[in-house]
Amino acid sequence: MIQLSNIERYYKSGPLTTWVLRDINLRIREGEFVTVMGPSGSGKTTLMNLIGMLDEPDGGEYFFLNEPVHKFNERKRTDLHKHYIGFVFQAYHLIDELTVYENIETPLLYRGVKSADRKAMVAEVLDRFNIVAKKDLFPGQLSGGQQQLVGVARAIIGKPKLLLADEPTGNLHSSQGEMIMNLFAQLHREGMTIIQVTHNENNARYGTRLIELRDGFVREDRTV
Amino acid sequence: MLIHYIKIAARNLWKNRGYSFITLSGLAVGMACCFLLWLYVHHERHYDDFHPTGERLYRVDYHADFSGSAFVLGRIPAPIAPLLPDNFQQIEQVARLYPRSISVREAGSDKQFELENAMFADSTVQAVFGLSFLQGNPATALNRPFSLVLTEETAQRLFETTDVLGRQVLLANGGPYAVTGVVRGFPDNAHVHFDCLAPYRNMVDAEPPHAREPLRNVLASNWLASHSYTYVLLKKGADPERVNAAFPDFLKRFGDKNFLEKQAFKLFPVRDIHLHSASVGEPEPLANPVYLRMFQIIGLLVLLIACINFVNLSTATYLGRVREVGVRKVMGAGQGSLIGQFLGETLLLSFLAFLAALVLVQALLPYFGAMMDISLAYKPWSNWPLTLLFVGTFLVAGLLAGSYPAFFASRFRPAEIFSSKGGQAKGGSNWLRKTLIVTQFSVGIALISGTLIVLAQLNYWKNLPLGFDHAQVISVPLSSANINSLFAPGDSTLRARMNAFEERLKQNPEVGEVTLSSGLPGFGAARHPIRTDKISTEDNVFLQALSVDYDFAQTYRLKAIAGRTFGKEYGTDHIEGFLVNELALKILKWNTPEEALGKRLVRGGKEGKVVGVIENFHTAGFQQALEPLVLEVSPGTFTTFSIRLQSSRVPETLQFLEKTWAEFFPEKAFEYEFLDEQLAGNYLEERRLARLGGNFAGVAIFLSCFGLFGLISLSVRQRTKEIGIRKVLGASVAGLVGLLSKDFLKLVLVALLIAAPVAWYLMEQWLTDFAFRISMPWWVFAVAGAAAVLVAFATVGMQGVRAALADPVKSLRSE
Repeated sequence: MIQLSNIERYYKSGPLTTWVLRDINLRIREGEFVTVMGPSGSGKTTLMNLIGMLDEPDGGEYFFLNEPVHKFNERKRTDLHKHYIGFVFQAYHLIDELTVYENIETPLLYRGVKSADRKAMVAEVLDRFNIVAKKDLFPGQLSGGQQQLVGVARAIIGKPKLLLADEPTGNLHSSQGEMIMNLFAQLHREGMTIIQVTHNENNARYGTRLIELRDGFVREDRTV
Repeated sequence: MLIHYIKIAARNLWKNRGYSFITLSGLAVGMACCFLLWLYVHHERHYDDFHPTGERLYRVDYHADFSGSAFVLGRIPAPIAPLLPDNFQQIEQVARLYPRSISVREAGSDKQFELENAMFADSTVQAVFGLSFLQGNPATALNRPFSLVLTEETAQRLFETTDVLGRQVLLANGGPYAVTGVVRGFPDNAHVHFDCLAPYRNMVDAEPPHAREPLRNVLASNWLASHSYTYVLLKKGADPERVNAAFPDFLKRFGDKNFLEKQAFKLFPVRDIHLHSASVGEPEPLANPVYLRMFQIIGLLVLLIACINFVNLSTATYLGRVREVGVRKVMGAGQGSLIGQFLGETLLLSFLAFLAALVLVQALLPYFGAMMDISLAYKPWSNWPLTLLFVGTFLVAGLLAGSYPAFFASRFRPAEIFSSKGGQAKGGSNWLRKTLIVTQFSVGIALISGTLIVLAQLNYWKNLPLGFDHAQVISVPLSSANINSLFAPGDSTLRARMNAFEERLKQNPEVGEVTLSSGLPGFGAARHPIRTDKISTEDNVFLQALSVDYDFAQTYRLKAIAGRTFGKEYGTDHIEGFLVNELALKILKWNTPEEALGKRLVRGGKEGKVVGVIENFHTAGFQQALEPLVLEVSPGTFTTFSIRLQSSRVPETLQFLEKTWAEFFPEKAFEYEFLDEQLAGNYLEERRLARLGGNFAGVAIFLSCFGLFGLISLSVRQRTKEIGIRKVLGASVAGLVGLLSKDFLKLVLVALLIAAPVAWYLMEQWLTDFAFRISMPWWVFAVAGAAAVLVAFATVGMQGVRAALADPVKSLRSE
């Protein structure tokens, strides 16, 4: 599903070049649940952004579902990621001015889903995540765990093939974190490809494969 | 999708209530100001648009070229009009209007009014102008002698009802006239207005008996005197140029052969009169197209300032929303849909501002009208071209103001937004916003200094001595304003009545000096050809000449520097006495005042000798230079009493005057004006400019501060972390406020540097037109600059202090 060859990413400031990612070669198949670990500054988030097409590599090739993403322009990339990729953030990144219902509905708007279909899809997800009662509340009125639940709901409403989660439980209490991780496990069982970044060894145990980054290189890549 | 956008726009507006209010009210105020000015300009530019006969309507102008100086007159000799329809196939109808003021009362009543604009008009006037009759038969209303058509207002004034057909009215004690019609008066934006219409030939009957025969002759055969406004309705599709081209032949056939070379007549479109006429003797003041353009530009500048604010404040609030932009991008929003969303929001906001502006315009119109001395009305539906312009303005303003923040916001890359944790984004192009701020303040400072200069000039004029004593003097016109009196020989009884009236007044200790003259000092005087032993007719010397009574010099406290002033006791002053002022000496080639005494002087047809030389005094507003002047005593030409009131019991004295007046001059209603107020009228246009400039300078600076407020908030938000760190490191509040304010104050100073020379240049141009002017007051720029800096500092300082006092722990807390 994902093929990265010789991917590199660096920042230039004056004469200095700071490497963030170097010589990354990865192949991720459909249905895998990958955990990316590593200390701060090892390039985890950058790797996620590259895979999620929010950022462009400075070198190397990136194939997503056999499409050469590194050759695409912004419009085509946007198109690809809007149909196949869902994001979950550590800080939830819900839109404060929208209700739970509207937050979940937003990706469908950008996909041009018809109103009636949208209603059905949002209702189904609300029901599945047990947040029907909360649908008219604003993010500020929810607990962290509930917000992240909405974040996940929003990420998967479009039935993406790939779910990217950047420290999804980083801001949560352990019990809430566990709830989110169980949700991921369930989604994985249903066949969704998931890549998560985490510092937490416990969370890593939910995955099927562990990639450890250090200083921009892949240090370890093993099946769990 | 649209509903989704509107929803989020509304919620965002509500969330940032403070900003939204500032943005919205700023734009609304800016738009309202601009609309008001445009309404005014529109009003001025659409004079005489309402005539149903519109584009076929012309006035015949009189191009005269006597004594080497060519000029254009709005009135033409009376005998021309009746000959026109038969001699010009292009002309459908002709109507003459002869305006005068006249005293009017209902027959049998002794309540007398002065009508300022009584018109003696040909019966064709209704066809030429397409008058709209409320009562009476338009076709026949003015056909019979002694018929009278009133406007609604006049009917109300006279009878307190408009149901007045058949009622009897006296004009200047003559008549009676029977009311045969009531019409709607011309609206405000007409170059001429009338209170009533009477048959043209009846103007003779409004004169005193001894003046009637000479006037009949003038009307029938005087081909020289500029007498009546003459309006022509051309046939459909007729070319006015062909009429103009045929006029010389017409004159050869009918006109006075002596004047052929010196006279020309041309059609002038009635619609263009208010803005473009160059004629002397227009019935009402014209607009100054230069001032109109200036008002338009001021309107645009204020709108520009408001739009700049809109950009700055929108950008500021959008910075708080970069995270939202990032999230939306992650969820699949393309750049196009983001631009659409943000543009939609600014359009929504500017639409709200637009609605608020319309409400403001309606609310402010009466005050604005009072400021500009006109009555303006704005009805969005009937005034639709203007409404369309306003809608266009709002769309352009909304799109312009919205596009910058929209593109700015949608350009962020989500990876950058999220990687900098918490959505602190860089400020975008700083120079653009700095330029905008500088522009705003330049406009504001330029307007303030311009206004101050106008005020300084007005103040200078106010304190400049006119050279004559005008305190507590009232002027009382002797007769109605009526040029027909020029054709009348002197009324032998009138001089006696004037003297008796004067005597009676002097018995009242509350009345000071009383005098008569052909004109009031301070309002110019007609020029007459002057000859002396040294100056011949060929020298073409024309000097202002005023006819005054013996006690004129005492009344106005004029001093003789050689010889004497007029005195009845010398017996011959009214036959051959002349006074000249100091300035006249030079033109008449006398070296010293003493040399002038006893010298021969011929003014027009009157020959005499100089009996005295008086100090110069101003015969016109201070815009004009002092001029040479000749005074003489010709009682037949007196038009106005000047009466000095002695006491503080002015109302009682005025009552006494009115009662006494009615005894001596029953044919004329008593009217008076304080000379001080009349003199102030010389500076009407300048005062209007000062008021307008002052108000709009205030708005400009106020709006600029709105913008500045937005920018400083933005800057504070961007620098929250820096401020926190500085505080932790021990920076003082004062130091931080200084840090935050410094950049903005610098911008205001740059604005001052730009505005001062521009304002200096423009105001220098303005001042150059005046004979008595101040030298450019440099303190004005210092004051304007200081005011701008002060206001800016107050705005910036407030926000700065708030930021500096904030708890650094909060701003430095990481997620």
